Amino acid sequence: MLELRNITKHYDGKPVLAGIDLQVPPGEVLALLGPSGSGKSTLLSIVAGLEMPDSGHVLWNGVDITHTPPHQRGFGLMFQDYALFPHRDVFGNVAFGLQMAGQAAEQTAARVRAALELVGLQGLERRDVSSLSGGEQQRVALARALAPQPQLLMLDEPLGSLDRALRTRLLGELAGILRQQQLTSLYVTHDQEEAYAIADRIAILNAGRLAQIGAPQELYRAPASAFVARFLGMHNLFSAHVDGGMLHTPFGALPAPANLPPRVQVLLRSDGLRIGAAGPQVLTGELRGKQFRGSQWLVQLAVQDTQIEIELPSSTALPALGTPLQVSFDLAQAVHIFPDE
Amino acid sequence: MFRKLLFVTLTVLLAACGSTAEPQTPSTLTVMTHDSFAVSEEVVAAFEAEHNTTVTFLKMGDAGSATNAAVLAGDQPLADVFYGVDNTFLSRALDGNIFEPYESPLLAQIPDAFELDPQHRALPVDFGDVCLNYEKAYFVEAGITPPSNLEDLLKPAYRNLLAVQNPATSSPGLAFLLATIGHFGEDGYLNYWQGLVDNGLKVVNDWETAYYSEFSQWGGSRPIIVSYASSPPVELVFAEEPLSEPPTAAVVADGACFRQVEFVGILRGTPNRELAEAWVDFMLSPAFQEDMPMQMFVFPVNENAQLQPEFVDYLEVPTETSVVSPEDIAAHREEWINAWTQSVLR
Amino acid sequence: MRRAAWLVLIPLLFLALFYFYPLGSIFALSFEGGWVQPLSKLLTDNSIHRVVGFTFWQATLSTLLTLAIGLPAAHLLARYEFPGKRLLRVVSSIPFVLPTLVVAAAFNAVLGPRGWFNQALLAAGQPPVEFINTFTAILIAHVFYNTTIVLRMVGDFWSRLSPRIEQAASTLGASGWRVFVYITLPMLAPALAAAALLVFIFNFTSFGVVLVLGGPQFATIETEIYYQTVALFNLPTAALLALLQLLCTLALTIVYTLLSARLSRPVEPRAARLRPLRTQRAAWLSALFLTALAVLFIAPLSGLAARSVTRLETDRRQQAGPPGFTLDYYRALGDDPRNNLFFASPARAIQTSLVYAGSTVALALLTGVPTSWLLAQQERTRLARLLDPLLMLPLGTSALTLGLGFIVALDTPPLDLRASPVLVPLAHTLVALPFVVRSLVPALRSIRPRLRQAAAMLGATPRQVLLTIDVPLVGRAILAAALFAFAISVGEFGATALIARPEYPTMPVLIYRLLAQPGALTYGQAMALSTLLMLFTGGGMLLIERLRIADVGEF
Repeated sequence: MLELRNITKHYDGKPVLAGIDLQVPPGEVLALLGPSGSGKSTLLSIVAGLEMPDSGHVLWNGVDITHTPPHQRGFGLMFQDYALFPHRDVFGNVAFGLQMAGQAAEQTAARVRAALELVGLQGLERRDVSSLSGGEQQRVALARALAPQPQLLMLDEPLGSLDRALRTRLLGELAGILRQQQLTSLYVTHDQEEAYAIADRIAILNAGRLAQIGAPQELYRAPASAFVARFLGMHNLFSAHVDGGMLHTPFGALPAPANLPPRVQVLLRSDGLRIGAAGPQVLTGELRGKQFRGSQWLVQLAVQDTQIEIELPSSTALPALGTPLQVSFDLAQAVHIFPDE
Repeated sequence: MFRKLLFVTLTVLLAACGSTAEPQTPSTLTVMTHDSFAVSEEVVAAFEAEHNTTVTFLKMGDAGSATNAAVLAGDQPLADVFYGVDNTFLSRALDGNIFEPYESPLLAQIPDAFELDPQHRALPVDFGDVCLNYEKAYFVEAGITPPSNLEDLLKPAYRNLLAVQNPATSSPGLAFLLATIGHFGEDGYLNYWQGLVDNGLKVVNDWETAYYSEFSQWGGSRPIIVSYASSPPVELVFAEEPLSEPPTAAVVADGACFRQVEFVGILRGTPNRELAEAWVDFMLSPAFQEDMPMQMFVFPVNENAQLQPEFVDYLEVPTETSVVSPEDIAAHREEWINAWTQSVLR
Repeated sequence: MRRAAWLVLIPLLFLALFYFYPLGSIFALSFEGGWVQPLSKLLTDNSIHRVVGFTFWQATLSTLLTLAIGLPAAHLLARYEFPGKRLLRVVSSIPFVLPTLVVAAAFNAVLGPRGWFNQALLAAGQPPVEFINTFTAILIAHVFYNTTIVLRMVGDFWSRLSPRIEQAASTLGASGWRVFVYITLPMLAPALAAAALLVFIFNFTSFGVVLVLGGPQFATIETEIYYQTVALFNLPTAALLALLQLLCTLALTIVYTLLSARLSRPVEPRAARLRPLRTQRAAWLSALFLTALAVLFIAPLSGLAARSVTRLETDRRQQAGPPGFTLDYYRALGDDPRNNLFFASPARAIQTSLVYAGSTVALALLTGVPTSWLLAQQERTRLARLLDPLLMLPLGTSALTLGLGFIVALDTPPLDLRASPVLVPLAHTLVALPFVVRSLVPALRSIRPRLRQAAAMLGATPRQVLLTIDVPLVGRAILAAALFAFAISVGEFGATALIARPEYPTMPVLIYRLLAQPGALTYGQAMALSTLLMLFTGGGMLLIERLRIADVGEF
């Protein structure tokens, strides 16, 4: 069980982490999600012991390890650029942690074989790491981090530098391995799809603060702020003002719930709209664009002085571009209102 | 790791220091000298056997550097005996007060002319004459008479034939400058050198360059250079194939050469005074004196010492050398060299 | 990091004991009679002005010339594969370790009054060229000596700069020379500055080359120190000149340190893949340049070697020996006709040289590795930052002055080292240390901090990180550093002649002894021994080159 208490960190007087509290129960995969500069890599470094927090504590199973040097923590870290040792071959890289722990040679060999098997690289023991492809290097880095059986595995943008197809495939494999090993893991990424795919819970960081933490579906269903919504890839976010009991948005006026501040942010969920005028709220617009996405259509609709994005089932029959289209939605399900940022 | 290595180094270093730091056992004699010093193994072995001692030699660079080292070492002498200060550096050693006086009984066998220090702090061991050398074959072939004295070199016939060493950087170079000063006087030597410059003089910095790069005997273009009176017989000794006579000759006319005399002295503060006296006596004795010519190409001051046949047959010893006293050399060295530099090099 | 701060004591103690203490002692002694008067005399002496001016002028010119030749060569070595590449590296590094007397003999064998070149001219009815004792001789000899510094320091650094950055620049529309000026040159700057600085300091303090090849018309500060000390025993003036030389070196190194701190950047630990020369024109130009380079290095060296197996044919020679090929000089090397107490066979001299060089390597690495490690840290203590320029000082110090300092200072037990053979490796280490540090620091800095972190995450203690990551990764650099130390020790003559035990002469000392007496046989022997020294060092360099390749293969 990893516990972070009020972690703060400054670089050159600028706050990078401003009081992070976090708990990761055993066996959980927690994704740290945030844009670059949000402090997620710094947080990882602090957990790893590569950097010291300015204040706050890192606890492992209740023991304060804030000042324990990295090599005594028994954590594994897979670096974004893999940081493979150029002067050691595949075996030498994967065996390194076991050798540092003073494991016997046969045991090390067996564990390295197992780790390489796990990542599907059996037989490449004697290969020069620089001769490997990006995907293979990624697997070596993972095997290296896994081989000493760390108590906590940290992965820093492990798929960041790979192409999309490889990424998707490795993501699945990685998720499988993490589940299979039941490893407590911290997974740093800036890609929400990666986080959705791999994490039990997602912690979203914004400018050194925890913006929201929860299971992927919770976050998706109920983003806590406009930032979270935007970061999760929700596009229909608009500024709105409240006047005379009505919420005035760029796509039209809606009945306003009670006790709203005068200025708010409104999210219209793209998956909460249907074709036709059946819903409680109806919007009429002009069809501006449509992209076929397999199971869905992604549709752009010009409504009043703005444009909204709508996801529709691919079975939907769409009219020609430029023709008017009516859509309807349920206020409670399709609209989130956030305080202005 | 580094701690261990550091420890090992320090131990080694201290052990090394320790070995030299031990008080010298009385059975060791240390002789400091310059890097031209050479001696036969058996000659030293005989001394060691007779006195039940070990002789260690320290070479401290050329004669000037070694003298400097002896002077700077001061009260903590580097050795028991210092051999190799010559008459051009003698004043520096005597002014530095580095020697203890010792009136060796063997001085009786040495002509008084060599005894430049009446207090017997520095005792003469050997001499060598710095003279012009020329390649015989060149003059035979060119049909010119070889030069027979210093004045000859001003003649047009010897235009572009002479190379000398810079007195600022070379010991024979300084000796030759002193020869001209002794011969032409303080008032006349610069005129003479001006004449040499006008007649195509070439100056190089060291003996090696003069002898092996400029001397026509050795692949250069100058058939006359400044070297030692001993060089012609040495050419004979170290020829590739046996020669009937030396290929070069020295100009030994009156006043054309400068005599370098080398001295030995007991260093002030030696704990081995008795052994040091024995060594000085040994250096002045025929056994050592007769070994010198073949080893260092310098000649015995002891009248009882015999010369090897090569030297008896081919060594030309000037009857009268140009004389400048050590005190004058010490007092005027800088002035003379500067004046020479101004008129010859600039 | 803090715990390792004691490491700084190793170099500091070493420098304090064997550099500052002796130097301070000789300065103190020299200025016993006051320094104001000698200083005012020095300041008003026109000939001293000329000496100082000439020293800067020849050093600047020599350095520019060395860079002009070294940079293109470093580029070719770093980026391309071509036949004879290893040979070029080996051959260009031989002069660096040769004593001046040997280099002078080598140039003499080729360009002297009766050298091979002038003999050829005479045979063709042309007038001979004057080379020995000219300004050109000084410049060429300096280039001959120091090009290897540029090749090694800049070339090695260059080969580890990723060519992708240059490729990126050219895809952004930069032409060849703009890529060089805006991308390559700034990236090379730290190595270039370091190499230029070293070359300059060597030229600035040049002694033997100026004395022997330059001749009496030319005087540098270093030769003037020699004159003032040995000929005149004018210690105050000599000390002032030594101090001047020292301050100039210090100023240069401080400027360099400031620059390099700003400019150092991580490079790839692995050599970039080498290409064959692409276009016809580039291949021709390179071939032409490489040929010129080969002539510069190989001609004097092979001229010397040829001279050692040739009996010269001169028309006036009376002796019977047939002119032409001979091995007599080599045969004579083992003879000791005079039964000289100080006679040493070449084998023994090689052995002595090896012992001194081995000790120097050990001492230099022991001092240099912790020093470099400290200097390579991101957060350096103020003391460590001071270390860098301090280490360079011995290079700018007159060997003669320091030698006298040893005699004055190290005279009391347990430090009475004046007559100890330990002084030789100590003196050599002072000279080698800056090279060791210069080759190690960039390599240590170039290790991405990520690798150390990765090792720590896998449970490696700081010590294990050093042993499993830093040491293997800088192995090549350590090898290069050791090589530098070794080479410096083998070829060093000045200090060795002042302090070596006469029964154990090194190769250069033995060569000097042979050159210092007249006689056909002795000169031939000197050439033979010089050739052996050349082959010996060349063989060593070749071995190291092979090791390097094996090493690269392992990466």
